[in-house]
Amino acid sequence: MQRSMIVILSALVDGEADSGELLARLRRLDPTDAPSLATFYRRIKEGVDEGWIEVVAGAGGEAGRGRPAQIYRVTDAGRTAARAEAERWRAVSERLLRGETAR
Amino acid sequence: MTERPPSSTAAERWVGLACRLYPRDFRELLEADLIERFREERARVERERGAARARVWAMTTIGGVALGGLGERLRRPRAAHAPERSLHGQNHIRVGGATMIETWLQDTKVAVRSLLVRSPGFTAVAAITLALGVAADTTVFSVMDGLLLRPLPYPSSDELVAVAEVTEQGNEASVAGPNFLDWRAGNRSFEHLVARTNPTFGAPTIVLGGDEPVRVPWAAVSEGFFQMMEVAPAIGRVFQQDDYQAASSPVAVVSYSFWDQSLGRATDLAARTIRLPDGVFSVIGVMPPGFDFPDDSQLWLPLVVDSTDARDSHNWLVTGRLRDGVTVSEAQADLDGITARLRAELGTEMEAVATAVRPLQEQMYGSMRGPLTLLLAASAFVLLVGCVNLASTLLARGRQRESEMAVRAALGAGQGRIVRQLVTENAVLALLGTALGVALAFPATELIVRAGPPALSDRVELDLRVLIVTSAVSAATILLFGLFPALVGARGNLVSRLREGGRGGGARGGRAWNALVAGEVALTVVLLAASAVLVRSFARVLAVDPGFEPSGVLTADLPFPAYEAGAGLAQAQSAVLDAVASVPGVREAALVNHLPLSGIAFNGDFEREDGREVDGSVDYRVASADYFDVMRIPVLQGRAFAAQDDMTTEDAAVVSRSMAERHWPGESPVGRRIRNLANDSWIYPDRWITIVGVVGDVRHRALTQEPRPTVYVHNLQRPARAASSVLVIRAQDGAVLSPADLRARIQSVEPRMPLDFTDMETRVSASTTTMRFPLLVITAFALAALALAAAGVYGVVSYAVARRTREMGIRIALGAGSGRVLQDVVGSSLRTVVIGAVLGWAGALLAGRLLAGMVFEVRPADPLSVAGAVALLIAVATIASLVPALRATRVDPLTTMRAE
Repeated sequence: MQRSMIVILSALVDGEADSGELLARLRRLDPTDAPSLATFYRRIKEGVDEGWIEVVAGAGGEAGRGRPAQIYRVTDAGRTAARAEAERWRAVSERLLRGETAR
Repeated sequence: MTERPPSSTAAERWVGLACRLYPRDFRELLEADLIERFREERARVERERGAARARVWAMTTIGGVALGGLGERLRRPRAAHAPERSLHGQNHIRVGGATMIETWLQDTKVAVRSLLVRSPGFTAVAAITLALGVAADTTVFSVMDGLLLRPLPYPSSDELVAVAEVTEQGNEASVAGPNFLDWRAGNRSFEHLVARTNPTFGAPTIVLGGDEPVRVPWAAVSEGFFQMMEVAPAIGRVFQQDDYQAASSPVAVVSYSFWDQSLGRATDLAARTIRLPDGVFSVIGVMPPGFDFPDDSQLWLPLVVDSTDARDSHNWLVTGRLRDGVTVSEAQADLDGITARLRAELGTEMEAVATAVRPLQEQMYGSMRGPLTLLLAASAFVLLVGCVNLASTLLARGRQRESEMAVRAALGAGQGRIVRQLVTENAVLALLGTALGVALAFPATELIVRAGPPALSDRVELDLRVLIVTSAVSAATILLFGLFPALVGARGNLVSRLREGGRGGGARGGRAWNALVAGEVALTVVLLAASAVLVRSFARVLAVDPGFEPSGVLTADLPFPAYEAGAGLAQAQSAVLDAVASVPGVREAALVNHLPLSGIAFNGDFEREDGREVDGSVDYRVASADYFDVMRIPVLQGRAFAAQDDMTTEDAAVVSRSMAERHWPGESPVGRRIRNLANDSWIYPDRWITIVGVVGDVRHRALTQEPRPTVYVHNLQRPARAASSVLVIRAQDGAVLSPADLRARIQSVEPRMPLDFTDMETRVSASTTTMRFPLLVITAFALAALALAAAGVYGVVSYAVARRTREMGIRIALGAGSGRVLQDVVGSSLRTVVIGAVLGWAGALLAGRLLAGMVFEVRPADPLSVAGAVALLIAVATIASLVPALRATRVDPLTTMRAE
């Protein structure tokens, strides 16, 4: 799983959001390395294809030009996949922090 | 398909185009959201980091979205695309066991391999050539479109006109108040006719009462201004008839950005007041975002035009909206009639003899028409040179591939199949070059906006239509000339083609290439010559002695809004000068009402002691005691202003040398007295001023304009004329002044003074922007054309050498020296270059007329510049042909013969 995908899934764990809110969460999560707009949407599409993210039409919310905002939501499969990936990274990180990386 | 937003900006349209690169299911799911998000994010970046950063963000994001689309197509498994291809259920035609799509894909793969793997050098040169032409033309036309072709952003803007007076000498002038009132009352052509302040007099003013004191451009406008512009306020109201009554309380309308940035988006407008030099004003309305007419105004005040003004006081700019169906010339005839009648009644009291009515857009940007036409011609030349270069390169490559085509034909490929293959190859090449051109056009437009005059930044954006047209022209060149080998290779004599092995062509091909190269050289000479003329002209401008020494001088605008003109102001100014003088590293400090080369100049007549009224206008400047020392303007006779000159002593004036020579020829003006001088005449009437000294001439208006006779008066004796001044500070030798120190020291005596320091050299440099801009762009174009021409000559000589390898091998085997072979190869290419250069010389002399009015002390068709351009081009062409020619001298006769 790409790093940007984990970040997007973890931002969605806080609750469903439209793209503006989601991008704002990503900037707060990692102000120095938020994904670009193109990467963001490619990851969203990838997440939809994998069954990790659902897209639903927003009810009200931030209005576009005459168009309701689109809402993104993490699925159970998405939570599971993100958690598994996070566990894997946790193991790697712990090794790194203990200074046990293979040379 | 997804729903498109009702009105998109150019950048949003580009994002929409980039989205087309994504698979259909991606677009259906996310395109609309992506475009909407792009719009919001761009607005956020603009708010947080400014317009320039937002433009860069938009460009990189568009590029990222486009690349993402390609990446998405590569990422998706092949099966995912299958439904797309058979969406319409069409039966594909099978060609030799493969569908047309499969054949096309196969051709594309072969084309990509042929271009990128087998001939990367050729591909790079062709793509860059195409890209340069596309980018240059698109950029320049985008500027032209933004300023001259696209309507102004106001409703029915074609009905808006500017009106000026025309004097007996044929000069255009601003409008006298009573004339404006008579025109407004008597005309039948205008729906609205409105007077407003001239920005020359209405320089940015300081505003207090917002969150911070700020200096903003402003305009005072007469009744009907907002109705004429057909713009309604976003909040509150605009001026009503009552607001123009003398007894009414002062009111102001502010721009959206002023409301946003200085009033904190306050909704309780009634409670907001702002303090200007003229008093305290209530804010009654906020204009919608983007409205800043005229001249980036942030603040509008009511203007009451005085019917008792003199008819030779040219104070106001006049703008009008024509009635439906009335033309500009009909409106002019209408106002001319009124003017003629007034002139007949009032005689010479009425200076105007006619009017000049022209479209508002022409008045705002018309001065850019000459330079832009020149740039458009230059960019068209670059595109032409590029196309010619492409044509010759493609012809040369086609010749080399004739035998390959002949083999394909011999193996059973029909002419149609070969043509299709070449079309595909050239289409890929065209696509590559165009994509590169588009990528170049974005930063090129950004660059030109930064290098050009300020007006460019508001109005210029990349023009999609031009991008399409220039791309189509270039791509057509590629397709046309790229088909050459298919047309001759597939049907010619197979045996002879194979035997020639790519050396074919002989005289017919040679003549065609020589003609193309000669044309390319001629066009390049024209561009180089134009560039050389502008460079020489600019060098002359920079060599001009402005009459003062700008280096080592720091300046800052110094408005004193809190004081009425008078003793309080004089004390405040003296306190600031004392504070500045106490900063370490300061040698001298002084004040002047308008700096040289600031574009602002007051002028008028004066009366001599012998009773003669001098009817020639003199420039009028107000300066403090040390001004001439700070600016290093030499005192030629008498003395400069002294510290003891003030309201208690006799009024003193210092005149410039040209003033002394014109009005007191052969004698010294020191000790003479004058009065009713220009702007003095109505504030300090009949007060005698004694001339105490003569100083050197200064080019106040422009480096390219001869110095005008100038009178300087003392700021302490003319406080009403010195309320808005510029501080000039000269540093001690080797000292570097710290703006922070200066600001702290000045604000210790004037706490609310906004200060922005600029060195005098930067101001002098800024005054040459209108000359430097076309110079930079044309020189860039000329260098691009030179590189293209060199590449063209190199390509053609390379091809000639390859074609004649066998002949050269035989000659060398028979004893011909390498010098002789070298001379032969270089000589034959130089003949073509010289023919082109001669044609270019003639073209340069003709094209020089386009430069008329843009050059200084150099003839538009300067022979030295043209000769220099020709010499440079011949030198570069010689080097370009020497490289392949030297290769020819190293031909091994045995290898050549064995290859046969």
